[in-house]
Amino acid sequence: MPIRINLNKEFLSLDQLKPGEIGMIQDYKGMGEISGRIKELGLIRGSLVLVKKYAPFNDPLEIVVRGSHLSLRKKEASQIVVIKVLPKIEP
Amino acid sequence: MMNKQPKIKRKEIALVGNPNSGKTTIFNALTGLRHKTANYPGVTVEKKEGILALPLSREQVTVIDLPGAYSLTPTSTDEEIVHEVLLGRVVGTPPPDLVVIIVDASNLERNLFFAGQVIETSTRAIMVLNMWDLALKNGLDIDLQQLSRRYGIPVVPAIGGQKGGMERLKVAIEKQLSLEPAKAKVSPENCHLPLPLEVKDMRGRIERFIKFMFKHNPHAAQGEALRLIGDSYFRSPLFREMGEQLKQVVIAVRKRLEHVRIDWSSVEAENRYEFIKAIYDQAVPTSEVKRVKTSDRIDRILTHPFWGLIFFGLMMAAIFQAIFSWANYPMEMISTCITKMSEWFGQILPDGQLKSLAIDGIMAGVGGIVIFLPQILFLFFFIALFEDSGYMARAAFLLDRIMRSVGLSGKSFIPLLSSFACAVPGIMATRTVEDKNDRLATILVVPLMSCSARLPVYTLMIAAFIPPAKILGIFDLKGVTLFSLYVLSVVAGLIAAWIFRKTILRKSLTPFILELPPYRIPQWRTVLHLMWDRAKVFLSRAGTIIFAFSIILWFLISYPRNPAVEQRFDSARVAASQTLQGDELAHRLSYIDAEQKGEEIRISFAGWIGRSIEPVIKPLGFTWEIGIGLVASFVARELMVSTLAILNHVEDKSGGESRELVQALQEQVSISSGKRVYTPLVAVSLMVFFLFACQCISTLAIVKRETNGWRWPLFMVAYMTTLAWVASFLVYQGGKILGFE
Repeated sequence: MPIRINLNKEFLSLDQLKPGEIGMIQDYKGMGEISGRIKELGLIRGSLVLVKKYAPFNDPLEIVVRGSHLSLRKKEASQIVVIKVLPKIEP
Repeated sequence: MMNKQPKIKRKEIALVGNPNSGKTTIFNALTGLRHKTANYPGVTVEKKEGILALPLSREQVTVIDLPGAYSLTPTSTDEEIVHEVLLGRVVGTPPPDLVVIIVDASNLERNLFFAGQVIETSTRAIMVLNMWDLALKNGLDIDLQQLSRRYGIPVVPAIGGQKGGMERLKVAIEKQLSLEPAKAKVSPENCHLPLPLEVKDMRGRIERFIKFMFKHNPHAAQGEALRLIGDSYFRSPLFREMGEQLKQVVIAVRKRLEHVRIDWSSVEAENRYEFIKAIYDQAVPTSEVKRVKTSDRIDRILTHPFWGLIFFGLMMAAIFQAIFSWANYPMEMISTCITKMSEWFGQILPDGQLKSLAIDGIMAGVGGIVIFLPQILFLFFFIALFEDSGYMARAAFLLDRIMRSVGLSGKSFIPLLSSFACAVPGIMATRTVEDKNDRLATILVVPLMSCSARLPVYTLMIAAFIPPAKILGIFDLKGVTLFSLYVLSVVAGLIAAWIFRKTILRKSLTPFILELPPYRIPQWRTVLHLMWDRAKVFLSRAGTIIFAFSIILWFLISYPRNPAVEQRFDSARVAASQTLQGDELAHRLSYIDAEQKGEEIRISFAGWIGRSIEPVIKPLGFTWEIGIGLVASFVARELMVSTLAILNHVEDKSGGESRELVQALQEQVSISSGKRVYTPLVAVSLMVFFLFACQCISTLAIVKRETNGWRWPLFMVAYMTTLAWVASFLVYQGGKILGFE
């Protein structure tokens, strides 16, 4: 997917992205606090994550990473630091 | 480890793979219909086995279907079992001779994570690229040879749902099994994960420390050492076994890595995905990947914040309709069969203890649970349908926020829903809840949901004591009463869950991560398989326990016997047959039979128990006659009705709605006090008691199995009985103060 990295490089947490927005994972808040499972499912530094939608009452959220659709709670998503990237083409 | 091997031992093949990789369809395709299910020792994970005849030699090998797993760093009991079996650490289950790794070809990158872990720890392995057709449709052009070369193992494409590629897989299995372990892995150095030097160094340090635990398999120790570094919550079973010492070594290693600015918690994931990327780019050269959008389109409605919930509501309504309306026909048939069988036993067995045991003990107890089979089959059919189509994950996604407000998770919903039919399948369904405390909280409140075994008691009490009035001119008071009981059960369950999560089950140990797999058209074969497997578990497990307890309860009801009483009734029979004839005689005789049964219960252990608990249940408005019913209903709730029937000399012909029984209850007078046993207030108090009390041996048996001990079932009885007593007390005493009778 051709992407352009957001120039002002603003760090956000994953749950701050709106549906349809894509983030690139930069870091996690706290060392080893977030479950290793999130990383094992492919959410590692440098991964692109598309926020697909939010469930009723805005939680949990559906994301697409490496072609698989996953659902995380906001609590976990807030521990993932991303920068927004601008896709040229909607994935 | 066991070194002793039986002389002729079947070779064992383990099937592993990510959840939703279609592992079970491959298992079914390989082994056909006959499976054996047992439990792994000490845990509640099912061990599913089948037999495969190899295509050339016809040699039979055992195929084990391991639970789905995302990683060898376990976060659930299921995954722990996969870890333990693959590493050969389960007593009675030697490490498999061959591991068949099922990989979802349409989601290759993610699936290769676990596949890589498994390949590194196994001596012989095969990779199956399942859902090959879907991958092709998505435009993935996977180079099998390349993949096979890089991992050093055979790679076989398959379409599990249509049994495609099975012959090829069987041949590959046979070939692998015939190879020496050293040759089976074509080039093990290829598949070893490249790591930064410092990490390798630190891994070595842990490896040396744990090596003695893996004497038979040095590869396993290496992989395990790497995983221990990143296991930030110390979840690995090795930590449990080796204790503080290992923990200290691992913590020291982590400090060292932090010192050189390496994020130890991501070390495996980052390096492994980098490695996978290198392989993936080689093996899947095409760049243009078309994503199949059908799933997204379906989800636009099914997980829509508004329409999604509406659709979900409709599905639930359909399930309720099936359980409470469609299931009635087969249930009536089963009921007739049980009656016929009881009659048949009555005819062929000689009068006496054996006959009584067969009819009043076993047929009543076991029959009482078998009758729920149609409801349970319907329920499992829907659950299997949801699971196989991919809807189950969506339901959890939709409901998670709502369920969390009471401390449960989205995955707790289906178990709670199932419990309106019967708590036993509900508790079995909690296996999909990964977090231990979430699951325990769900298990604890599942029996509060008003199951269908309570229904006969409600219908009887409502028919007898709730006046046929109208509320607001339209709602029937009887109907409103029934509905209120259901509402009360849900509200109580949710409050109880909330309390448990705030007190004894506070921590959440596993994060809520849900995969939303692409929708699939459910395959009827898989659905029926799933349904049947669970029904079998229900029948065999609940069946054996219920069988045993039915006998115990029958004993309590039937003993001690008093020959004097028997003689008295016998002489009454003789007297009747001398004075009466024809129908009148038959009528009189059946009356004497019923009276004798009632008298025998009164002098039995159960009667004694009923009388000794009377002081405790008196404040609830219950007499000792009701006490006996409460004791009896422990085997199966609906036995309350037949016990009441026996105590009232009424033949219990048609379950709850017997008009004779209704009348008898309305008129029943307590022997000890001379007052009416039942008033409408007592009836309401009794229904409330029944709603909350844990009057069910099979629930306790299944909870014992699922929580692996007596601690939680005992706690369950304690809290539910307390709750029932307090609620009934409030109803009865409050009602009396308000002037009700």
